[in-house]
Amino acid sequence: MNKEASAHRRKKTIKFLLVHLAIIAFVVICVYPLLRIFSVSIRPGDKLISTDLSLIPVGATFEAYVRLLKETLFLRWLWNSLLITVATSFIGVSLASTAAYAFSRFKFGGKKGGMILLLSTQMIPAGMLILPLFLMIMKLGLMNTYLGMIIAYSVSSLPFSIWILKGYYDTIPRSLEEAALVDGTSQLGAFYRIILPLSTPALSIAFLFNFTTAWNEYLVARVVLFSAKQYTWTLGLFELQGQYITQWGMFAAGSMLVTIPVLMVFLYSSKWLISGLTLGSVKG
Amino acid sequence: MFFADALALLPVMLFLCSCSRPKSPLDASTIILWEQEDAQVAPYIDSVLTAFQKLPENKAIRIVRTHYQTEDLRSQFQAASLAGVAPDLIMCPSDTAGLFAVSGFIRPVDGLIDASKYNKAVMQAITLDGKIWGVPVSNGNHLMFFFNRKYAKTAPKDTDELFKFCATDAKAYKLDFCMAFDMGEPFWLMPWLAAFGGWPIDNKTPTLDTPAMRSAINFYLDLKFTKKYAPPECDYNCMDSLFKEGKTAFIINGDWAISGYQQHFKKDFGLGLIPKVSSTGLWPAPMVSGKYFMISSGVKPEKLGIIQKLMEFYTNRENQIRQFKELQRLPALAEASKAPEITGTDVSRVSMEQISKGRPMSMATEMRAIWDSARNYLGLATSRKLSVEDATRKMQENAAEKITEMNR
Repeated sequence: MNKEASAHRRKKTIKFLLVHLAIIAFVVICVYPLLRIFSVSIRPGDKLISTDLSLIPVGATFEAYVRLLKETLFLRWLWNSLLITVATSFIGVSLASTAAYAFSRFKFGGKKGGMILLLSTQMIPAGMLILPLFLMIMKLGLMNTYLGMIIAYSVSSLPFSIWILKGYYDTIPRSLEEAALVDGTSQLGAFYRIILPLSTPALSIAFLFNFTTAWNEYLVARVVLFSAKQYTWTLGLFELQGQYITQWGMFAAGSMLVTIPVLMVFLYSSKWLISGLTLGSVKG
Repeated sequence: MFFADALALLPVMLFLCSCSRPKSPLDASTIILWEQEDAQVAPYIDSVLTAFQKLPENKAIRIVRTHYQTEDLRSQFQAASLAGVAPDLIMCPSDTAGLFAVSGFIRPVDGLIDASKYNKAVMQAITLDGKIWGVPVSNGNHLMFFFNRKYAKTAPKDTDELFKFCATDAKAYKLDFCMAFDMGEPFWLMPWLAAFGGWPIDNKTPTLDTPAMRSAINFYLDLKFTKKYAPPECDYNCMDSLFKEGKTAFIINGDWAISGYQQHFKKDFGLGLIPKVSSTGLWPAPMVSGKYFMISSGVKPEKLGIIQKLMEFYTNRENQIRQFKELQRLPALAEASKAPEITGTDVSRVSMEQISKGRPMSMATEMRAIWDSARNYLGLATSRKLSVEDATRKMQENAAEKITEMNR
């Protein structure tokens, strides 16, 4: 019995060690590139490459951060990105949540076809959408505007969000809504009071997807925006890159700073994401 | 409930965004300028553009500057020209001008500027089929020889002197390498090719499969693998880092790097001519061009007057001198080249001397095919994946093929 127990303990310990070794390895793989970028950002003399492999280079300085904030429009680019991204995320989630509800709960002609059509738009490579988007935005007179960017981003991430939310709504029992309807609430009231609060995890996922997609997007921004004051950070950073000389220190400093908002959004929404995993696990 | 409550923010968001619409870039008083300059040049460009807009007669003029990377500028300008939404003006080196001119994307500037006011060599580099296709902003864009005074007091005059330093002093200083330059980029090969008696183009015919080209590539192989004076694999960022970290004494880089190296090395900054090749007695001849304004062929006639004034202002004597002071770029304007502020410095003297040893970069569209072909096969030859003879033969064949395709 003792032997069995100690063998079981050993097995458990080995498993524990292996799992944690794997996790540590993945953490290193994820964190190392970030540390290298940080290292470049504090390296003196705009050097991308160094023969010195230490993470804190000789003569480390935060000058690149100071110069980035003082000499470039970086804060403006960050603000532009934030405004476009937040607006895109809210609009995207608002439209997707209501559209997905209709697809999930109502019967209407073309429902199946509509869903397949939405899915098929996801098969089109982003590059192919550039020209039609460009022409539409130009015809609308929205070139070089936030609104043009928001419209472009919102519509391009909508299908994915609708599919995610529709799938989630399907798992929510209809009896909950029916009970609310019996109590006298309207269909919209049931959606607002019952479905939306229960769908927080899926809404968070959709929001995060919209947020990260819009935050990191480059191609559409490159086509729609053309004045430095309107740039998002993705375009702005490329202002630092020239034919031969790139200000790598500032480039890396910018790359470090733009991770902060995304990190904050992820940390803030993590409670919903985790609650989503445990949703429905308790009966009663 | 967070998302539900957030729906209320939507009108605010949309209101904020609707306030963001800038003035339409399509009106006659707005000039769209695309450039591909290095990052540290942007503040200078903006300051000149702002000064131009502050002139009393230019109060209503708006200039929108957009930065692209070099290759992006080329492809975007082509795409935008084909779509009929090209910018009014671009600022870039002359190497793409031939392609733009032949494709009808840019218009000649004959009649818009007085070409005699500018240096002859820099105008030659932007002349094709008897027409001038751009207004020069700077003179040079040429390669030079930089050295770290901590290791060498002066630049070596010839390769014998250079190799002597590499064999003795560089070893004594325990340098990783004696010299570094971008051996994968054909732009760096051209000065050496000239020093062995060759040149990549003769009128509009590629001349790549020549004894001179073979000698130049063998010279590279010798530096990399036999003498080990240069790193076996090293691109622009690698050579730049090695030099800045003091791990190599010499570097070959362009005039665009002068101000950066001056700031970095301060009193240890050294500038000289690319050393003469002792075996041939010939000086390396870097390609000389400059940066140019080019006018889109689709520009509205009512904008031409403003563009003409802008180009004249940008390249006037005062701004050309300021450009040298801030960016160490030689003036394209002949009058400014003679100014004491320009002639009185060591940097300009050496730079001018290097230009005198250089040759104008050909504007012929065929150069595009030569660059692409040379880049591919130079890489294969210098990484020993292909023999030098095979590489030069294929370089020539490939360039000829590309030119045939272009002319179809």
